[in-house]
Amino acid sequence: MGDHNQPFLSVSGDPECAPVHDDSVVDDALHRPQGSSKSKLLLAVFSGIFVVCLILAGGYDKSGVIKIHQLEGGDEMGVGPIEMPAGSATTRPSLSRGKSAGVSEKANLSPQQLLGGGEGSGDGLSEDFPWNNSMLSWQRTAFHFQPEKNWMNDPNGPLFYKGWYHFFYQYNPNAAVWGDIVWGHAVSRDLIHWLHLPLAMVADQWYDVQGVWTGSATILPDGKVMMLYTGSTNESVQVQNLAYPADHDDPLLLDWVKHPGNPVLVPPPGIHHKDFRDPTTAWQTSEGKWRITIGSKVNKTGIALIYDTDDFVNFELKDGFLHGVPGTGMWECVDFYPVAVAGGDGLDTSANGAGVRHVVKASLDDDRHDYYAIGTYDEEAGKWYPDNPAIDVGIGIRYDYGIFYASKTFFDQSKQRRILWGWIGEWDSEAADVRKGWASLQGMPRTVVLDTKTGSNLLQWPVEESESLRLRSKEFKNVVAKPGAVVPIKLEAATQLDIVAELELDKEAVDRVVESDEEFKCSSSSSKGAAHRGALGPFGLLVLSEETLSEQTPVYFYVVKGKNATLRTYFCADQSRSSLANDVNKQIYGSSVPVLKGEKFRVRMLVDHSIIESFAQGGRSVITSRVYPTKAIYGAARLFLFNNATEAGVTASIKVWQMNSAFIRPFPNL
Amino acid sequence: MTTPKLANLTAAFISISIFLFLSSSPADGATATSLITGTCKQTPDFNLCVSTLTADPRGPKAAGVQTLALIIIDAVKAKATTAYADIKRLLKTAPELEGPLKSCAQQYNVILTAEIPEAEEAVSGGVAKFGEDGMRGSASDADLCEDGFVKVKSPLTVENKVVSGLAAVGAAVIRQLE
Repeated sequence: MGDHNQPFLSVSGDPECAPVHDDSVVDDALHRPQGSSKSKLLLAVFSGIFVVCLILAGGYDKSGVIKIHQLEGGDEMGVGPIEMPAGSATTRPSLSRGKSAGVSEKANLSPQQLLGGGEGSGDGLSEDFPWNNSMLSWQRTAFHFQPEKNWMNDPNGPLFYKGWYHFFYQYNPNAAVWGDIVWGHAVSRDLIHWLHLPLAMVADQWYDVQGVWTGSATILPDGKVMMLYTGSTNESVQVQNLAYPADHDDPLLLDWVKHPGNPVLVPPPGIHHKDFRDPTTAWQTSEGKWRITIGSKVNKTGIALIYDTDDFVNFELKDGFLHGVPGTGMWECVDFYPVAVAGGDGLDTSANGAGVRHVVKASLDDDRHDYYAIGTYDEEAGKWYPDNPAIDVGIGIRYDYGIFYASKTFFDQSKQRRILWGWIGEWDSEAADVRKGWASLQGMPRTVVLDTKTGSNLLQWPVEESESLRLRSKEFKNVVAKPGAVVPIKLEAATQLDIVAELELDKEAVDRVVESDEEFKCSSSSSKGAAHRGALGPFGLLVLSEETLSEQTPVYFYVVKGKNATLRTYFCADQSRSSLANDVNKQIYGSSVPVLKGEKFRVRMLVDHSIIESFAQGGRSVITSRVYPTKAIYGAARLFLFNNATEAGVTASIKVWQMNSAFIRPFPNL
Repeated sequence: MTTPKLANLTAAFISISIFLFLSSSPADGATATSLITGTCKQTPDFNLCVSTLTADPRGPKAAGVQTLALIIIDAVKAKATTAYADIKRLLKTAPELEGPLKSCAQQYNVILTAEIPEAEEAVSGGVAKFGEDGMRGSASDADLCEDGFVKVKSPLTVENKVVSGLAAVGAAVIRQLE
């Protein structure tokens, strides 16, 4: 792989027809004795022209050589299916405009998925959606981390240090789209109330002048901080660099020093210089060395490379890889950490031994989703094996079935918990982002523990400090929603909410309904999202909805009674009618979720303007959504309970808190 | 051999020759390498892709898809630049179209100042997905400009179509870098 210049066949420099016999044929004809018929002369001349034209047709190139061998390009060529961007010249104008398809964190959209827009959108086709400043400014969140303006992406180097939580992030100081990337910085006492600090690192060295990219922090036993990060060099080579605080006594870690010997790692042989990025937090080996992993790929196999070091300056590449999975493509933002089998507290990144499983996580460049798998770490061999290869990294479980990428955990030693940060991108158009002057959020930080009830997945939950944002609450006990019902949940306001709901299906109906062989997927193309009615679902909440439901965002459960009366449950979010605008994501997405015997259907949702985070069954399945209503904003937003099942009634108990702003702002008096 | 039969034969030869000549290489004589054809097959507009890439001197010499992607991005930039200039001119000469033209100016401004630089930086740096963002965004913005002409005929249809189509091709080429 790589852009090796492969020379063409030898260039003779002679731009003329190569074959030699043309002229002699013509000469022959011209010198033919006069006695032959004129027609034979004509035939010969035209044959000559014919042959000449054949040669011209046959791939004659500028270098004068007939191209017999076509050489393969240096880079591998994509082999995936052609993705037709919706709204491309070949598919408009008869389809709903919708967003011009599949981008990074933005979803791939097919023409069918663009339909929607609800009543009142007119034909939705013939004009730009008239975004006004009121609608756009409503989209900013009240209690999710975001800089004051411009573009943000990956979380970087999170850590707790001398009483402060530190958060760094990929930031563009110049625009509301990706580019010119440097490290932003903010601190907080409680992971909620963030204070912006000056940029921590900028692109001022040859080894990071094209971008100060993602990295991770390691806290040494003596308290010193080592920050490894990827730099894109002046020649766009991806290298790893070391930085550390200029003053370890400064709790705000304002200033950072780049190690004079940078880069400390360059792409090893066999690894492409554009497939080598995002070093992890280091963990200790039993030999007392520090070990890190860096994601990459070999052909289409995503891999995690392993390096050992004593000093974060000199590294030894270990043989083989920590792990790799064929067909998954480039592994970005690899994460590797231990979890306790018994659940409970989080573990230091170096923890190992009995009662410990290890998680490997990768962000897949190919589909822009974060996947993890649980398995066994063999420290001596430097290898990790998944408990269940059928759901290995990249082909199994995702942290989040909505928009959530480049995530990274850290061990919070002050409260003994493992905390997960994730980049939440935008699902509107780049033009709208430029107009509103910003793009992207961070998810609410989540604790991560092993699900002791299933043993085969993690549980994620908003950090408990999120509850400090709760203001007044209202409780709605035993609200009944018959089949087809939409029940208003009356609130003073509905754009900044913490919702905890427990729902039950009518037991008699569940027992009564016949078994179905329905193959359900939240995202199936024939599915009408929450409008698709089954015997036992969908049922859930309509958030950020307008009084007449012209705009609504259903988040819901869908239950199927399968063979032997086993119930399967799915947890979905439906954006097809979340906005009358036609240049936003309108997809329906989600996954199955284990619901154990005796469990009710439980969901917690954080609603914060244009972001909704939904946690089902205590965090067994999580969906993050970005929505951009035009009417269901400010005082016009509503919350409803709905039940679109045909056979079963639903009873729900719901508690809703109004959520305060986190007042995220620049650090005062700096 | 009779003369009329021979005349038919030669006429046939001429026709076939002309047909072969016309159906062969593009008019400028540059050749689509297998890298170009293989890459362009995975885009929504094969012909536009091939003609754009072969028209650029870097195209037939390109050793990898990254170079092809940068060529398409440059082509989008060129077409968007002329479209923007036309919009500015029309704002003076066609004041009755001020509303949609102003929107178009905004959209093309985003293409030129945000989305194309994003695509260039991302493709050069090897983080292709942001390059895809930039190209898809550019296509979307050209479409939005065109859609802004509701009851009146758009004076920019051809240009919008070209920018939109080229940017869609660009996104598909960049996708192959991931």
